[in-house]
Amino acid sequence: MAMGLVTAFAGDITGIVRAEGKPGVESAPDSGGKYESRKFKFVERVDYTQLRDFVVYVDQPTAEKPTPPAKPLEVVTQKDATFKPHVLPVVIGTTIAWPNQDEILHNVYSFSEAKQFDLGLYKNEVKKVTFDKPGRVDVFCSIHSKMHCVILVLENPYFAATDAKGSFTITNVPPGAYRLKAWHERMPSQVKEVKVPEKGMVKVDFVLGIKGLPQY
Amino acid sequence: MRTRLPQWRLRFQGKVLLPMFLILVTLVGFMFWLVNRHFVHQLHAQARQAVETADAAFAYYQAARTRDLKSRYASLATDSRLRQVLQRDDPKTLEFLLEELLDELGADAAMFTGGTGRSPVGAQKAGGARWADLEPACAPSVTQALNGSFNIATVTARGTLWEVVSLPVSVSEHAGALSLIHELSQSLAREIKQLTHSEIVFVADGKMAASTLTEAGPDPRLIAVFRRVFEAGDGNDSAGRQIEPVRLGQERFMALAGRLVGLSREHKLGYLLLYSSENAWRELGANQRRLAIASVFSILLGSGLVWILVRHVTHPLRVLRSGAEAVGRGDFSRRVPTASSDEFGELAAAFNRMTENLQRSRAELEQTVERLRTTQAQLVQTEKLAGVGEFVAGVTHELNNPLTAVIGFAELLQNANLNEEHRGYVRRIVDGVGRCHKIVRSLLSFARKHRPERKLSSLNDLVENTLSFVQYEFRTSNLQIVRKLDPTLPSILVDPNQLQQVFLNILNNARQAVEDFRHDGQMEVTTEKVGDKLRVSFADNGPGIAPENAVRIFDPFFTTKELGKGTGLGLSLSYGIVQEHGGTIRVESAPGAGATFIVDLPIVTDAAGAPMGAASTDTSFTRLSLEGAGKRILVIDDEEPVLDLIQSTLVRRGFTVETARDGEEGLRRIAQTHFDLIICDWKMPGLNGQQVFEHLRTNHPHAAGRFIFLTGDVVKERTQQFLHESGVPCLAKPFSLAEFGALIKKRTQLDRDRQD
Repeated sequence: MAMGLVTAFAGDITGIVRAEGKPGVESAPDSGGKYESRKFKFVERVDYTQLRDFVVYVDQPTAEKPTPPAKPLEVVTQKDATFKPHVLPVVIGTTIAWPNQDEILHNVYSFSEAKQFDLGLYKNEVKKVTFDKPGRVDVFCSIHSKMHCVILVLENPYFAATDAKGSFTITNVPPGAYRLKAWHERMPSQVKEVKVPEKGMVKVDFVLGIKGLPQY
Repeated sequence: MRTRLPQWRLRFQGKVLLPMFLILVTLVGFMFWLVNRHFVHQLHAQARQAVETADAAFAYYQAARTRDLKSRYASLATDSRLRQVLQRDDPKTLEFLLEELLDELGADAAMFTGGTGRSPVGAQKAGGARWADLEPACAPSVTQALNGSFNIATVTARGTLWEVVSLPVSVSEHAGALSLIHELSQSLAREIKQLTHSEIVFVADGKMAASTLTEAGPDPRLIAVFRRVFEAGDGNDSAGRQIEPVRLGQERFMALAGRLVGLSREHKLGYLLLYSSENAWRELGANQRRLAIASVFSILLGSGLVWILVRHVTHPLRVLRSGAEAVGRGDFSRRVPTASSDEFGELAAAFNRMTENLQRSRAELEQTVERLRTTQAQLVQTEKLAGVGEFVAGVTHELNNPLTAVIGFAELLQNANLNEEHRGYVRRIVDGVGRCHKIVRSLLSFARKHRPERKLSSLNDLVENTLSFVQYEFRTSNLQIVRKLDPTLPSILVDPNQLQQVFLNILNNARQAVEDFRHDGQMEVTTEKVGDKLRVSFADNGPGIAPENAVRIFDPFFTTKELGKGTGLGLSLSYGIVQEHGGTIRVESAPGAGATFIVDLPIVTDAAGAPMGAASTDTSFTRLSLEGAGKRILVIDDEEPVLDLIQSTLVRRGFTVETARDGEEGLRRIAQTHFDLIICDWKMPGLNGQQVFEHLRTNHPHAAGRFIFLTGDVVKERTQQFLHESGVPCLAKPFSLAEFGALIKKRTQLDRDRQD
């Protein structure tokens, strides 16, 4: 906190992230087209405009040594056989509590590299897990295969999740040039160079999608 | 008169065409029926086969589905989630899991039944059957699963069919049965329909559970069909599948009912496969129509062809008919063409022959009728001539009396003292009267009806007699008669009258032929003895006789003369007469060189004696002058001149002559006086000659023996018969004095001989 006061020079990064499919595909989301056929019956159709849960973060180690998280305890609840929130970016060292608010049993486990754990079947109980390695951790319920959430363990605190409209704001970023990365669990990430001024905001918009993928 | 035909008659063509038409219709109809029957049969067989195939496909589908379900759910028993949840024994979690499984597995409901005494946990999709209905239905399946058997069964609940897959699950001490329930829904039915190409109706407990016949709705008829079909094949549900055609609304189906695999037999769970044969039926209908049109067309075509054929065949018949009609009308010239060589041709030829024969016969008939008519005319002519003959006989009889007087007195005059000049006149009178006498006698003898009577005759005399008849005509026709008569000919036994007629015929024919031919005609008459025959030849120099006529010249009624001039009987009669005499008559002729008729007669002389009345006339009158001295003669005649003549003649001969004017007076005289000779006329007023003779025969037989008749009428048969029977001599008037004298002499001498 003192540091924050001392270094009076800090800027914000703000912008909007949205996703875009191939042109013409999303224009008729319900007409189906060729997807109506039996061949594509089980192909998931992605409505790019409705995609949320983007995370924008500075993808480079900052010079300072890791700071303890500003918010050491985060919560992911199990309600209606669903993890909420679905995507949760945290800084290294954050502990997450897993309360089961359903009447039925749930199990919380992960085999991800960044963190492996299995909390077993429980209800009417809160269990906690501390994430001390950076990386992506996919968390599941062993008996409800649809229950899934992603814990994104980041190395610095300069990140933000987009809101319902896709806009984000990263505050108190020290001035300088950064590699700013926009991430989504189902799409390739996008990196943009950003220069944060000493005072004020820098605006960066991302359009994610498969358009930019190399064509084979 | 044409016979009236009935108003309606069946022509020959009709007679052939009608049966032909009937046969055609029958045949084609039968063929049509046969083909149709075959098609219908085939259609049924095809539909039956189709529905059987559909059933097989459905069975295969069921088996595949069972396999699929089993494999799909086999892994469930070891599903980790299930095991975890079951281990924790949390009903709510289990229920939630079951719900999730429903989504994953596509089942309509899922149920877990734990061990004994535990209520089952179930989950189902929204809008399904109520558990209260479903649970009891699934109970048998669940029980089986609890007993450790993985089973699949079809159950019914609330009129819906369900497929229940129950599998045993055991996690440590917790054992139970997991049942996954699928509704046999419309969509499934549609899937089956796609597979089998048949409509399918699922029937549960007598109600329709699902059907692809959506438009039909829950048709009670369908259930009825199912019942009927199902129960018909119920005895053995697998083999004895009953298949029968049904009709629903406008559509025809082949229906097959089958049993679905159920755990309980009480439940009538079944299906009805309906294979629509409507299209096939429609096609059959179209084919039937096509076939019918073709049949009708072929019948019409066949009938038309037959009609044309029959018309063609009967054409000669019609020609024949018109020919027959023509012949019937009398047109014998009509001939029917005989172009074809078949029976019609033969018939036509026969018809033509018949017509020719008819024509000929008719011509002959006409000719015959014509000849008969001619003959009739000739007969009339003949009869007329016969009448004339009778008349002539009467006339000559009347002439006889005056002629007798003329002859007698003329002869007396000759003996009177006359100067030379007057003597010449008298001679001419005598000559003339002699000729008259001859002519009258010839006429009488010819007109007389003769009994055929043979007597020894001189052929030359006969010829001369005949010539005397015709010499007038010959002279006026400029025909010269040349006689070459052999005077040494013997007498022969013939009928003079008949022979004279023969000669007369020949001469008359010759005269008529020659006078038309030339003006210097000649007739050469020859008599000669040829071997044992006497021959008379009549040779003329006329036109001769054509050879074709020469052979018929002796035929009756054959004549070359024009109608009414000749009877055609003359030569025919002549032929008969000559034949009767045992002789021959023939003609030798060359056309243009005259004709010669030759009559040969055998010399027959078996009867001797001098011919009567043909005595020699050269007896001298003077030599008889006094022969009658002392003799008394009675002459009875009503004719004064004849009486006078006879009296004069006899007185001159020395007879004492008495006369009587009639029969009564004569009889009175005979009764008073003896007469040596009685000369009596035949025909008198009062008692006639015959009566006088009869009277004398009875009263004075002596006098009757000295009787002589005088008669001018020897024509009548009765007279002749009487004369012949009585043997009384008879002198025919007119008679010459010489004849008279000869008879008197003979009679008186006979009398004298008797007296001596």
